[in-house]
Amino acid sequence: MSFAVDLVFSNIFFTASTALHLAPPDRITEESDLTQVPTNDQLPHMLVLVPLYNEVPQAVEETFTSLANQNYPKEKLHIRGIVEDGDDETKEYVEESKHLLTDYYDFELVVNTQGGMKAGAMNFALDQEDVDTEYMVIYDGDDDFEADQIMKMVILAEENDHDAIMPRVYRVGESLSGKLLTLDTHVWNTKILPFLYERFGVFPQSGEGCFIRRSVVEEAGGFPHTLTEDAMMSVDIAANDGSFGLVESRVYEQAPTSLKGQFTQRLRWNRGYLTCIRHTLTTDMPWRRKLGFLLPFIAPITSLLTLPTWIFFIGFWVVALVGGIQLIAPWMTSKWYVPFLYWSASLAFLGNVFIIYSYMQTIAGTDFEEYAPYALLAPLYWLFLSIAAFGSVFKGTKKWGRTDRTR
Amino acid sequence: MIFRNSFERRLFGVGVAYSAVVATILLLVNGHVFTSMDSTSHTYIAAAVVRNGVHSKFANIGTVWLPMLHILLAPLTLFKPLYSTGLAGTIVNGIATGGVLVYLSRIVTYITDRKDVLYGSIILFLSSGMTALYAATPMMEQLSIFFGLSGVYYFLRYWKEDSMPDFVLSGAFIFLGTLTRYGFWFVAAAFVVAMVTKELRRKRQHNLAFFHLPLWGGCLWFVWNGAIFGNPFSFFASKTMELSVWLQTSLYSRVLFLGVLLLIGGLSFLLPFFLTRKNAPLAIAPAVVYAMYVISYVGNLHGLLSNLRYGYVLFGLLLPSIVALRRMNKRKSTIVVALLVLSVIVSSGFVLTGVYSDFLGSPGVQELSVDQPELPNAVILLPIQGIHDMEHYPKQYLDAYDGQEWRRASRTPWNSNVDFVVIPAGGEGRIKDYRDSGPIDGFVWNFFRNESWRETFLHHFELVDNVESGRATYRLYKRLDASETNSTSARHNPKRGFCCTDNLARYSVLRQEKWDSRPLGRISQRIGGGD
Repeated sequence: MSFAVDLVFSNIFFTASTALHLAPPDRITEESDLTQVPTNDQLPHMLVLVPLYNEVPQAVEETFTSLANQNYPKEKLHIRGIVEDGDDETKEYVEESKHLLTDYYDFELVVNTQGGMKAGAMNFALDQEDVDTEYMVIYDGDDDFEADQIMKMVILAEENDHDAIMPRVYRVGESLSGKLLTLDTHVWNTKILPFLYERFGVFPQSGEGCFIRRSVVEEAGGFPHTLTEDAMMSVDIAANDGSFGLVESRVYEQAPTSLKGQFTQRLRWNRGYLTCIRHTLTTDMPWRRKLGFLLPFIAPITSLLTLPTWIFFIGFWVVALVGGIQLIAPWMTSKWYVPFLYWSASLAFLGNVFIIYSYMQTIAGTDFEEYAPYALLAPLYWLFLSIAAFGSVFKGTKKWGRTDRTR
Repeated sequence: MIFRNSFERRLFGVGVAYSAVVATILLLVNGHVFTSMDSTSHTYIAAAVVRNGVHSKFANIGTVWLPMLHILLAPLTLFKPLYSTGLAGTIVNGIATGGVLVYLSRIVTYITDRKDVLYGSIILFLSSGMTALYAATPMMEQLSIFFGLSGVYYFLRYWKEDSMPDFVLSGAFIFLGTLTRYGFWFVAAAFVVAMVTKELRRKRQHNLAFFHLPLWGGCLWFVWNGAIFGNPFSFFASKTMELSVWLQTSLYSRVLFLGVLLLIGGLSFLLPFFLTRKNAPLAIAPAVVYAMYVISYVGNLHGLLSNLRYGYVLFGLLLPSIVALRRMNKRKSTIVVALLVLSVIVSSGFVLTGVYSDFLGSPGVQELSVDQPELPNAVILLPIQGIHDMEHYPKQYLDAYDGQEWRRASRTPWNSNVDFVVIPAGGEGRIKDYRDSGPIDGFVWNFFRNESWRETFLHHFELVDNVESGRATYRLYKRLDASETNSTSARHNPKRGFCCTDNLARYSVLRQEKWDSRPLGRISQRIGGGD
C-alpha cells in the first residue's frame, strides 16, 4: 500500500523535476558591460573568502593561482584564507602557496578556533575582518576560474543592484563518476539555473564563486549553520526581497575522485537541501520565489522515491503478466489508480529518455561534447543518486562531510 | 515553436487561416470535416481514450496506427462540437500547417535569399489539393510533413555547419515523426546512416553516441505493443495489418511498394543537400520517380492509389529544386519545371478523385460513425477481425479485446447486452477471412453460413443502416424492442449501465435530425434497406 502511494508522489516529483529540463540549453545569462570598465577609483573594495579544510597542495595552489590572475585592482582585493584550528597540513600548504598572493594582494590567513563547519569558519572570518567592503565572494579549494570573473560580477552588481550573483560552476573529473557528475553540473548550469532565474528570479547558490552583498549576510546574522549554507543563505536573501543575477563566467572545480567521495558529497547536498525545504516553506516570501527554490530542493526526494517506485512498478507489471490481474489488489485496477500506472510507465520510458536527451542536448556543441557516450550511462548514475538519497535521510546535520578530491 | 521574426509569425497565421477556410467550406457543405474512413477513425480512436465512460483507457490508442495524432486529438475530443464535426483535427492540423510554412520558409531561406523563390514555394505547397485536404481534416499527413520539414531543416544545418546541437534538435523532431507515420522510420534510418558516416569520416567517434536520438520513437512503439498487447511486433503481426490493402496484394507489389517508399522517403528528405548546380538533376530525381510512381500505380494497381500521399512532402521542396535548375539552360529548366508542376497537379488530382472521392457532398461510413458518439452508453458488437474497420466506430463496442464477454455475445447477441451489431458485407474472400482467423462461432460466419442462426438473429435485430465507403460495406443492425428479447443482462449490467430502449429511440431521432440538417439534402435513402 505504501509503495503504491509512493508511486503517486513519485510521479508528481519526477514530473516536476523533468519539467526543469524543458528549458532550452545555453541561454545567455547576464553579461556585464566590460566595454565601460570603471576606473580603479570607482571600483569598490572586495572581500574574498577561501575556506579550506583538509586540502591537498594542488587544491590550494589552483585557487590561489586563479585569484592571482584576476584583473581586479590589486589594492582593492582583500583575500582571506580560512583554515580550521588543528588542520596543520592545510595551513602548511597555504603558507607554501601564499606567495602567489602576498606579492600583490592584501592576504591574511585566518585560523578558525570556533568550529561550526564551513558556515562557522566564514562567520568567524567575517567577525575578525576590519576592512570595510560592500561585496564579498567565496571560493573553495581547487577552484579554477576566469581572470575577469570578479570584475564581471562587481560591475553586474553595480549596474543592476544585485545582492547575489552566481557564475556557472562546473565540477569536472576524469573518472567515470567524475564525468557523470560533470554532465550533471553541465545540465544544472546551462539549463536549470537559467530556467529558475528566468522564471522565478531566484536560485540556490553554491559555494564556488558565490558573490553576495556583505550587508545582506550581516543583517542575517551570518551564514546559517547548515550543510548547504550557501543555498540556505539564498533563501534568506530572497525572503528579504534581494535581487539575484547570473553572470556569464565559469568556475571549474575538481570533481570527487572516487565514487565514495561523490557519495559523501551527495549525502551532504541532499541533507542540506532537505533542511532547506523546511526553511523555504516556513520563510515568508512570495510563492513564486518559494517555487524557484523548492523545484531544485525536491531533487533528493525525487531520487529517494524513484528506487522503491520502480521496484513496485516493475513488480506490479510482472505479477500482472505472470500471475494475472486477479493477483493485484482490486483498488489498484480502479479507474482512479490506473492512470497513475500509465503515468508511471510514461515516466519510466519517456521521462528517462527525455532526460538523457536533455543531457545530450546540453553538451552538444560544447567543450564537453566528447562526454556524450557517458550520457547514455545516466540511468545508472540516477540509481546511484537514489541510493545516496536514502543514505542522506540518516545523515546527521552537524558533521560536514568534506569532499575528497585527493589526486 | 519559437518564431524568429514577425514574418514567421504571419506565415504561421496564414497556415492556420488556410486550414480554417477549408474546414469552413467542408462544414458548410457536409456538416463535418470527415473526408474519409481514416479521418473518422483517427477522431474516434482519440475519443475512445478519454470520453468512453468506464472504457476510457490509453490502450484504446491501439496497435496499428501510430499514436501521435490520436494523443494530440484526445483532449480536444472532450469538447463535443470538436469531436462530432472533426474540427479537433482541424485545430491540430491547422497548427501543423502553420508550422510547415514556417519550416518551409526556413529551409528555402537557408538555401537561397531570393524572396520570389520563398513565396513561390509557399504558393506551390498551398495550391496542392492534398495540402487542402490534410490541413483541415483529422489526418496524419500534415503533422508528418511538419515533423519532417523541421527535422530536415535542423539536419541540413547539422550537415552544412557541422553542428551537433542541430542534429540533436533534428533527432527530436524525427523522434516525434516516427510516432506519427511509419514512413518516418525510413527517414530516421537514413538520417542515422548519414550521421554515422559523416562522424566516422571525420574521426569523431564520440559523437556516435548521439546517433540513437531519432530512433527512440520506434523503440517506444515496440515497448507499447509489448506492454499493452503482449507482442512488441503486434502492430505488424496483427490481423489489422493483414487487412491493410497493400499487404493483400502480391509479394511483387509489396516489394515494389516498399522499395519506392524507401527511395522517395530517403531522397526527398535529402533533397536540399543536392542543391548545387552540379547535382541539380539529382535534386529533382525524387520528383521524377514520384511522377513515375503515379503512372505505374494508376495504370496497374489502382487500389494502391492512396499510397501516393507518401510522396506528398515533395511539394514544398519543389521550388528550391527549381532554383537550382534555373542555373541550367532555359530550355531544360523549363521542361523540368513543367514536369514538376504537372506531377503535383496530376497526382493530387488523382488522390482526391480516387481515394477521397467522398471529399465533398457524399455521405459515407463516417456519417454513420458521427452519430454513434451521441449514444454514450450504447454497446456495439463488432467482428473479431478487421480492427481497421472497427476503429471507424466508437469504443463502446464489444470486440476481441473483451475476451469471453465478446465470445458470449458473438454466439448469441440476442442474449447479451448489445444494442447494435455491425456486420461487414463482402464477397466470399472476405467472409473466408473471418472464418479462418476467428473462432468458428463468430457471428459474421454464422450470419452468412448458418441459416437458423441468422433467422434467430433477424428475429431480434433489424437492419437500420447500410453504408458504403470506398471498398467496404457495413450493415448496422439494431436491437428490436428490448422487451421482446430476453437480454436481462442488458438491463442490469452495472458496468454498462445503459437502457437499450432509450438508446434506440435517441438513435432514431439523431439519425433523422442528421439527415434533415444536411445542406445538400438527403442524397440517398439508406435506412431500412434489405439485406
